[in-house]
Amino acid sequence: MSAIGKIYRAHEKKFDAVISVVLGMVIWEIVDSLLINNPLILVGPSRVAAAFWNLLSRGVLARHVYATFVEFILGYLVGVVIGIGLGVVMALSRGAKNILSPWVTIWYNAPIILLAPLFITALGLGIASKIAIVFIGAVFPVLFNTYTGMTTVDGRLVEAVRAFGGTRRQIFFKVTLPGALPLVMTGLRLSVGRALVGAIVSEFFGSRAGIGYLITAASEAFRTAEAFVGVVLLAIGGYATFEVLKYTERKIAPWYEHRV
Amino acid sequence: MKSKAERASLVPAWLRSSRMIAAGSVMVGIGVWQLAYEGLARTRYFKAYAIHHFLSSPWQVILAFGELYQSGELLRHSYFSFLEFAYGFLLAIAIGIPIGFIMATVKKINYYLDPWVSCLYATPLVALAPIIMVWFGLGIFPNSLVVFLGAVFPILLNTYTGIKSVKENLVEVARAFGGSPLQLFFKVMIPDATPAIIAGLRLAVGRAVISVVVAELFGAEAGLGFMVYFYSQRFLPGPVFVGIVILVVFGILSFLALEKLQGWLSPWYAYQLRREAHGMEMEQP
Amino acid sequence: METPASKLVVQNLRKSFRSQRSEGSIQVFEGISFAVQPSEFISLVGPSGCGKTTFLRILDGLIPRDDGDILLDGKTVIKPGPDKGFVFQDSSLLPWRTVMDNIILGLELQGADKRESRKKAERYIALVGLAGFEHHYPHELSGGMQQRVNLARALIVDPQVLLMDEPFASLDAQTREIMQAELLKMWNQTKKTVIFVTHQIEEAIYLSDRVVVFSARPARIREIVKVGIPRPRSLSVKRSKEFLNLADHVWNIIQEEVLKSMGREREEGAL
Repeated sequence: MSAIGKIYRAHEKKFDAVISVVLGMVIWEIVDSLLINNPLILVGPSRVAAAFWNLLSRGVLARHVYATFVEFILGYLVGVVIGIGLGVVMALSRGAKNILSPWVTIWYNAPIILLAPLFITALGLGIASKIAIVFIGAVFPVLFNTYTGMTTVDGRLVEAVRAFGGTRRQIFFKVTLPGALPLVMTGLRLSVGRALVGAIVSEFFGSRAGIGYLITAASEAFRTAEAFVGVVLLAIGGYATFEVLKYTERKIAPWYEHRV
Repeated sequence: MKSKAERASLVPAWLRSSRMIAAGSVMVGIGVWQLAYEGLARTRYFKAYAIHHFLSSPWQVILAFGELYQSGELLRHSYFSFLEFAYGFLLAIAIGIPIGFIMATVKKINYYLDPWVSCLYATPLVALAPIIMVWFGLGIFPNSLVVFLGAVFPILLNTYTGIKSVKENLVEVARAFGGSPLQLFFKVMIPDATPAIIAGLRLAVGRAVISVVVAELFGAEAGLGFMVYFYSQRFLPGPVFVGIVILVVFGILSFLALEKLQGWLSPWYAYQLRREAHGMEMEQP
Repeated sequence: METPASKLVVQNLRKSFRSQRSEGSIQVFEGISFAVQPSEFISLVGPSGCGKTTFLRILDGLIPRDDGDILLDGKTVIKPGPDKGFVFQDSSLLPWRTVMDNIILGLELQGADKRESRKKAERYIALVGLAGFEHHYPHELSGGMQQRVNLARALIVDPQVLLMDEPFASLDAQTREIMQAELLKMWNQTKKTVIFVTHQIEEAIYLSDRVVVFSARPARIREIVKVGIPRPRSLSVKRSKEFLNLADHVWNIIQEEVLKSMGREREEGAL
């Protein structure tokens, strides 16, 4: 076996991924520029890259990314804090759980996006209406997973801490909270998706800036390549956040994958 | 002997069941909403901020429901939305499950498809809606395509995970008793992966509903999303809430239906596995 | 007559659970009384489902009793605490803590200084033979090693009595024997009073000074068997005549009880 073959076998998965992506790009480019050659119908990687460069150098792109980022981050953070808080309250108090759970179920399943036009009417075209939508999108997965995490902690662990004279307070801080952590992290990950969709779609409806605005404005003007720049940025952003959260999860709770 | 709680409470037991409390909570919530709206309507802020342009009371929602129903509008819109949902969702099942299965069983195909699938799974694909409208125009087909894009990846990935995590010892048992590959597939892999696949379907329902709505908000002549957008542009929040209520009910009903299906297809799937199943449901943008 | 004060005295202990199927309650055990001497090693055996584990949890104060008294060093046991060390059947180690941090759990719960606790833990880590694994997580350890951590966690609080609930039940036969021998070695070093619940007759006899044999439910003490085999005991003791006779004797009692409870279940099933 040749040396190259050996290296390839050792990292087969990574090599195949690179080959696959490069191959996909090349085919896409060939189909675009040689077969169809109509930027209205298809835009190949080179056209998207050109549009990206153009938007970037005009400073337009930074403005849009910044707007979406701020909406996303603010709504998401408030959602996470309130979601964890309410989840803890529901896990600790049966009364709160009984009263809140039908509402959580309703809101968790509701296509909150439909509220976007109303929020825009109420709060205006600016950033406030988007933050509100992002917040509602982010809060429920976090809440739901925090609650589930706290209420499904292994009873044997609680008993062990009790056997060594642990108080209720100690059980809460030393078993329930750390035990719930992995599911809270799952909730954080689920929320990213909903929050991002919330930000983009509410920008579709009425806004002056943001990646969602860029996509609609570009497609309405038939500048498909620019719309694709927006989509690609979202893909990169979504994928990166997903990987970062997965990495954090493994760092914070390395034991979770191996639990019994 | 009665327990402490039973003796201490004056409220009859049936009223204290969690289902009754849930129903009560919803009733009270709706009542509070109505009263708050009435109260608000009497203040000067109501006119000053044009609150009736974006907020509605439960009673007005009921009235709007009646009107939309009588004019036949509601049925027409629901029908369109349902068609788009059904086409897109069925297509997602028809494509997602086989590809997920193939990726789980053929390593080479997995290596080649994985970068694309992971990346598309993490992308908020509804962002493609405006572009799809440019390509295909308005109508049921492009909207179903948006639904398909929203639903296919959770189904695909959960099928993949489900088949990947089929217990090795079960496969060995089937092989030890001389099972053919086909028998292995139908008697071991599919049953063992069913809970994961259904979990994927449940995730996909939520995304599909959102996709229907977004696609219609953009480009449509009918559908609940269209209805909501149409009335919100005319500052009539009543029908907007009607649309939301219908979609919430639809979402919850299909969720329950899938749960029933789960219980029916895999009754052995123990309750205590819920936590694991939940961990598996990694919804992404 | 001059007798040393008993370490642990159990008087007339009674416990029943509310039945889930029918009204009324199920009597788990009643009228259990016995005394344990300081540094004595006692095992509890009996037919499965006779309530040995419940009994041990009541001794610790994890579950309340209906009636009767438990005296540890003359003081009534009300709740769990550092005067008792509990070793669980499955490791029940906190999965997010390393070996070291799992072992100091009991000290930490009492509000001890963390640095001192860690220093103290090193001695116990060495005692249970886990040196070098301080910073491993439970999932990185074998079942036998997890139970060593479990044991160290109970020993470090320096309890008056060690309560062990089938600690070796999930281990394979070879590991189990090694752990039995090591437990005896540790017991010899620490001189703790031990109450050891097991369903393995051989294990009970090999480890104990006395074996308490429970009857079927509602459990009473059928017999307390004294094990006169001199210590230190090597594993080859298990093949001696004396040992086999004792094992036979205990086996016969339990078999009798199992048959009795099977007969009763059949009657109840017929109803």
